[in-house]
Amino acid sequence: MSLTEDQLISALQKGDEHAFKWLVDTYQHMVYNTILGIVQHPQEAEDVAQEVFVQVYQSVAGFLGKSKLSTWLYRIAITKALDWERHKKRKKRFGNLLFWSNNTTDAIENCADFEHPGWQLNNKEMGIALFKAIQQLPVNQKIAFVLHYTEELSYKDIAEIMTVNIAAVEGYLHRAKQQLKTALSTYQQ
Amino acid sequence: MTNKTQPSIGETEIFWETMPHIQRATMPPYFYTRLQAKLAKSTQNQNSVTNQLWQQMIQPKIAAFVFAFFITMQLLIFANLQPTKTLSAKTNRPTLEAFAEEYNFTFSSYNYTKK
Repeated sequence: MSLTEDQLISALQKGDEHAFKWLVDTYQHMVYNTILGIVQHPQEAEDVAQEVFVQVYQSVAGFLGKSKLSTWLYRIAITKALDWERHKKRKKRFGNLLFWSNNTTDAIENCADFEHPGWQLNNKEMGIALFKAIQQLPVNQKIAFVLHYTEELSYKDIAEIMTVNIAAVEGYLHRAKQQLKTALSTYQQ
Repeated sequence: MTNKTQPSIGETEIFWETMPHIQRATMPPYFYTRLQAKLAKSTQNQNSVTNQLWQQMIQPKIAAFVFAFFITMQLLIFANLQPTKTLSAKTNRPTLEAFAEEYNFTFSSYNYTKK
């Protein structure tokens, strides 16, 4: 099945199941990889990816086509991943106070070192240190870094997704690299 | 001379050169099947608001709160139902007479049955 983007959007808005399956098959890895870079937990990244596609299914009728479909998907994926992170932090913060909760252990257990499945270097410890340092970056720098280095998107595409100009993306990436260099050099010492 | 906060030349530089070679992670297989289950569940949940409310109610925290609230209300009602001193008890007079006096009623001494 090969569709132009307009045809795909039109089919999705009519509730076509085949079009939705095609969309999921085409974009699932892109969505998963982006979320994984932010959430840094494979199972949680899959859960968030499911939420992304559920939202796409429910809100595609309101998609006006002002941006590319992939840009729209990236935005939903990033928003959901950041929401998930905020939710996790909140749970962690108040986990000890809520003595009568079912899920307090879930919030605390997720502290293990994250190894990105796409990490190809022999130096795995460096990879773990890098992703730990990425977690410490400010939100905008983190998004720009993940989109550029794990999704290999151009500055122009990142600028469109983040609704900022290209100079701002360059700034985010420059500062992110500086901060990560510092973090990794500290790790090496 | 190297500053401690600055990155050391060597391994970090090599590391940055290799950075673009992080491969994309791929979604585990059968994602669409799991997604369909989630979509069905999501649609079902949206359809039954009562079900959602019930799900909330059976959470231990909320159930405990409802139970505690129910007990408190019962205690308050019970406390309010304790026998209070009645008007007749206060005045030590027959109830009807005390009631009439309270509302400025006057008793007629006329006997209507008498012809």
